[in-house]
Amino acid sequence: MNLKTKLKSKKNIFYFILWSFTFSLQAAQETGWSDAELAMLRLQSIKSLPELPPDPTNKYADNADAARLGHKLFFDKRLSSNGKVACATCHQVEKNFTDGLAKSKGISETGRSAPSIVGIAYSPWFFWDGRSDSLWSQALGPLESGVEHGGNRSQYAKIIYNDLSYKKMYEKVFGILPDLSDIKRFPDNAAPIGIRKSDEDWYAMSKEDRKIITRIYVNIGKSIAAYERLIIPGPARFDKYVEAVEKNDLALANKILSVGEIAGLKLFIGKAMCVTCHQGPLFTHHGFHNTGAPDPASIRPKITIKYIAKKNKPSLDQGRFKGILLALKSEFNCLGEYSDATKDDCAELKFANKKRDETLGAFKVPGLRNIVETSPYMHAGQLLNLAEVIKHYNTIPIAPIGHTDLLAIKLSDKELKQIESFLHSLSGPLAVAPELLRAPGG
Amino acid sequence: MGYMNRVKQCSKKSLMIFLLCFSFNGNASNQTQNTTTTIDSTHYRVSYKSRVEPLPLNQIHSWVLHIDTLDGKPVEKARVSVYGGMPAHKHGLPTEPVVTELSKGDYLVEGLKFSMNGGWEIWFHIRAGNVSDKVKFDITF
Repeated sequence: MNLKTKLKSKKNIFYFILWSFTFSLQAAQETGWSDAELAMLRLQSIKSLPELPPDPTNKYADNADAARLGHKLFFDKRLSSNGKVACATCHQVEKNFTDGLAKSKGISETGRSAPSIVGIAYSPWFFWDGRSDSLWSQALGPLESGVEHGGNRSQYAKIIYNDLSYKKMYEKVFGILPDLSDIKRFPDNAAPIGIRKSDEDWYAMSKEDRKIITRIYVNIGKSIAAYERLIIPGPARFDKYVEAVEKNDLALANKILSVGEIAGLKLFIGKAMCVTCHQGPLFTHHGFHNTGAPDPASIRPKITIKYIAKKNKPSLDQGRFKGILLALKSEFNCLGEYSDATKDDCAELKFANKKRDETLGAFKVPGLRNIVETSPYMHAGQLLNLAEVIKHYNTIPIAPIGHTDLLAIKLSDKELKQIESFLHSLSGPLAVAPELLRAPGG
Repeated sequence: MGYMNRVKQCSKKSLMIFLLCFSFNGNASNQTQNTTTTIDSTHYRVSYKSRVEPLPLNQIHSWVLHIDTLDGKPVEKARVSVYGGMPAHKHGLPTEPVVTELSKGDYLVEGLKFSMNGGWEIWFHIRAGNVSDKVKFDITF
């Protein structure tokens, strides 16, 4: 290459670089967003939500008849010890499938706040502490919890067996129900739930009969999961804003979000680093973090604290540390006999982090779509509103248990308000058929 | 200043601008550029190749780790352990990966997962015979 060609080539490179840079700046000036930010907005948009991932543990996960049965079961209060508690008691449609309580109440007060089930089928882990690794096994937990539904598997199997409508729906999906009419073989309230009479009746049954009951119970869970998989979020103002920005229609975009909301969005994906964990179209990476949420006992009225201190101070919630141990020993996990998965499908369970230092006090990162409808916040409703939550992340308090994963972000009061405003733009109607959002026939 | 020097200076400046643009656009893709990297430690030359390309965010996947001595001989029957995390966030890996030997210096690393954007470190502690060493790979999403 002679000197002249060399010079010409370098000149061309220079012009190309100058053009690229100008073009990049121009794009940023036109939309108010850089290319990097635009890419991030696209990743957060509902348009990036992929098809529902298959659930290899549940071969009925996408069975429409199973979902119909699950829909009916979800709203049925007979699935409880007192006939007053259904799944829908704590997962209320009008509150984005939560209940507005700091600690949810079934038969009695529970230890945590009911998380939303919207878009939950995208998650590999369930419950705040991830103690279930499938949606169907999650559904079974509250049904036999003494403070939630308070019932037991024999009772639920018999509800299916004795209700002709349920029996017909069940048999259409799972085949002929075994004969459960012999009360000696199949007592009404037998289950391994730590209640003396129930346990005694359960272990007095033959191994085969216990499996018959457990199989029906598992299929109840698999049906409820098939219904819950249909509860999917829909486009919010944020998504419409991203769509307008992508079309370069700034006039429309600026009508969709206010100046404060746009500033909040910029902080959310930038300086405030919210997007690090609240990433993707559901605004969660489905992982677990210790964010130093306050000890629920410490925010009770003083008189209660004194009482607890004198009597029996409850131990701090260990979160994921305990959750993963429970998942590993659950008879309903991915590797268990009631799962339809192969060993290769169970990587999340097989390789789950069990290290105490990494998991103590960690809780699942919740999605943020329709977040304004799900107060109070954190795993036990410790923080009443979004302003308190954002302030919490800005101040990084010392974790009451374990160590916090949070980083200092040091936002001004104005910036905190802007993020709060932005979160309001994440609300939108669910992408769910209206009949699925009420009790069947209701 | 001669013409060539001016061009050189100008090129240096534009190269800086280009690199700035490039690095910013690189972040936009939210993916690491490399799914194969080789690093020399004191005793070993270590490379990895992800079985999923590009390196996936928030998905459990496997790598094949290859270990050679510095003079190019595959290291066999090594005990290899893996650990890492996000130093900036003071937390480790979201999973506990497992390493098993394949053959001829290849080792299968199963159960890796990078759950969030940011800087990650993956360390391999390698012990073959009496020689132990460790190597670190930096991954950025």
